[in-house]
Amino acid sequence: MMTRIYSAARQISPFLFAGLAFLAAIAIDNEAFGQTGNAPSYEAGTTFVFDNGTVERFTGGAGNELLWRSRSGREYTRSRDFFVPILSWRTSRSQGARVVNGDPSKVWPLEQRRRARFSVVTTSRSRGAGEDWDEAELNRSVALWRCRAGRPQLLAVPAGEFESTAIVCERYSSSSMRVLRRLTWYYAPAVGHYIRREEINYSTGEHAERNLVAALPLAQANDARIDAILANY
Amino acid sequence: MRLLGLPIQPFLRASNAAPWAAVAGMLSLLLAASSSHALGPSVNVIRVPDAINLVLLVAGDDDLDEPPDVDEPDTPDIEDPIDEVDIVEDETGDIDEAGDLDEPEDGGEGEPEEGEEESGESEEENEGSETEDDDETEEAEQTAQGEAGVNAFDQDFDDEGYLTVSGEFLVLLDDDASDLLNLDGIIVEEAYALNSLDASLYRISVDEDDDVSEIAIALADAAGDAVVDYNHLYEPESSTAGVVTPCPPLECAIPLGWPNDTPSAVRIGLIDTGIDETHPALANANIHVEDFVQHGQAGSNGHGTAIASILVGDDGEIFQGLAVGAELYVASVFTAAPSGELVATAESLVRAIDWSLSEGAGALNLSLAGPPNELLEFAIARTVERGVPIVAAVGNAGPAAPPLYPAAYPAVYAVTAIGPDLMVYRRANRGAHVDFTAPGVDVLAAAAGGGYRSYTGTSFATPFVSVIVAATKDRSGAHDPRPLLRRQAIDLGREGYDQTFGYGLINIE
Repeated sequence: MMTRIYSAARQISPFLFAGLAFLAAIAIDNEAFGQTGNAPSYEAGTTFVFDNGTVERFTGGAGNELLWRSRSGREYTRSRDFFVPILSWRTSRSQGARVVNGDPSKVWPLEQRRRARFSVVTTSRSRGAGEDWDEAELNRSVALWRCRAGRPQLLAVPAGEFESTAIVCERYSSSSMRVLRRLTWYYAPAVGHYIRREEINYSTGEHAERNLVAALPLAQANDARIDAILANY
Repeated sequence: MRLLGLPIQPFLRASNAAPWAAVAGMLSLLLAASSSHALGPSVNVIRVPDAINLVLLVAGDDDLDEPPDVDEPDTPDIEDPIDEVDIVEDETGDIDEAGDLDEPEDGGEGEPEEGEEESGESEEENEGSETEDDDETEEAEQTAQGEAGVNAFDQDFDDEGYLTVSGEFLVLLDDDASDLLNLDGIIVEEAYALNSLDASLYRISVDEDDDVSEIAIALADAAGDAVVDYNHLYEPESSTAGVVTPCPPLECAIPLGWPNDTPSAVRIGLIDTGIDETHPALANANIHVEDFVQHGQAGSNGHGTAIASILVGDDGEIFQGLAVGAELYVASVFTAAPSGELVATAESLVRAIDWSLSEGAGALNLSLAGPPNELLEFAIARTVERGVPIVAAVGNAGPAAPPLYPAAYPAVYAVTAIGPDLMVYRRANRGAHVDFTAPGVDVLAAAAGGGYRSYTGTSFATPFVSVIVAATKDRSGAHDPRPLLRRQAIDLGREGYDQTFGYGLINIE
């Protein structure tokens, strides 16, 4: 029967047959793609150290209001969907908050081609030296994001080798529909956090990358230990 | 065959039927896809394999040279707040002094790891309740530890951030170099003759105003063969979890090809807490106990009791360990730290190893972990040279945590833990040093004070490997049975060796 279908297809449309055969062969040859992880769940005090000097410590919170602290003590909130821009922050020069419209969590559990679209409305103030917050200009912006999950792969970072799935997020212009920025987050379910982040800024042409060096439990995450780890990078 | 990392065999197979048609078909698909309505850039994202997507990116994107959208009021790119935190982290002297990172609330010790509670809850589904169990167990254990151990030392961090006994360091010297200890600033607190290790061990304290590292360097320079290091602290590697009914040791060991005929002449050294010698599972066992705690008193004996029962326990009714009849030499090394956790000093570990060797132990079980230490490494090397295997837990610090010792020393058998589902224990350390896997989730073992409970952690996987290593060595006569055990291990995870399971589930057959 398959032989007859094959003969008939060849006669009817070589183009169609070749294209369908190509797609079918691709589908058959692809590895089975199953779930590679649910949204992360953090333990208080767990500290993630990256080779670019970034240190992220989870300090508490639940749901999509997770509280983190940087190496310098800065606190900020982030969604459990870590690929969503930071939800609120305060530094010496700026402070702000973001509201997310849409559902970024649609990428979970991670499966190839699972997607999420969302927009982020940012309200922020930036002040200059000596300027009061009241004098700081209020800024408001909207950013459009689209994220999609990739295939699972074994990824080697300084912290080890881990099965990971890339979550590729693109921020694009609402007017020109041009991609302005691409962030690729490699999420490792075993670690429960991303282990690599790649960034491309299409506007400036800049590339940046950070790789996980260590994920420390609270007991080991003292300043001296972190400094000693980062001294190698 | 791959092109740019992508499989091209399917394309080749399709093109074999009608090569030119295959190419034309591909181009047709490209044209069809380019009319899709997907939101996004001029590079359309369509649902085709990455190979074609890549072609589209290269062929279709002509916007990269256009100026950025900096003037668009609704999508500013300058000073994107996403990276504000990162930028600030890289700066020094910020105006807003947020202060240093808070010290861990428990004083740097971390969460107590003596959390053995029965639980019927799923480890993965009830992480919140798991934390609650930790709190209840922690309070109980701290009370027990506070009663059992008098706080007789302070803790500090060395330059690498590892826990040490404050103001102390250790020196290993040949006897004829002992006069070096008369150097200024050095106070010899204790001296031990390590007959089995052919060395002398000194615990040195220094004045508060002296720099320990400088003294250590001076001593090492004066006596080139001296081994000097801090008096580091180590912790037992157990944690709390509860999934299903715990499995007794012999039942857990079935996939390992155990039980087997255990030579009763096997002698196992256990370096751990003390044990409850009155427990029915241990009361009739052939056990010898020696105390090596120097600071304060010995800590609670729950951890050691459980491990000992897995090794040699037998109550004659419901519980039986892996090597009933074997002789067990227990070195009690743990005391209560100022924060309440159980800790063992490097000094006690080295002395315990020496003693175990003197007693003829055929293998040593160290269900503990901590920092690298020169003296510990020396003791391990000497022990392995004498043909005595050392088996240690990789630790429960998490899959992305740095390696812990002594498991990370190449000469040591590094053991990780799996559950009944053959999944790796989620908190187990990983790395290139992992050797073997053994059951370590919800293992039934004796509880100090009576009864049995469920235990989880790489601590409790270690005795399975210790028994099999000792038995294999005894049978084969090999100086180091590791190559044989590697061949016999049941591969888990990715094919071949991997950093999660090592060579796989240890097996004696």
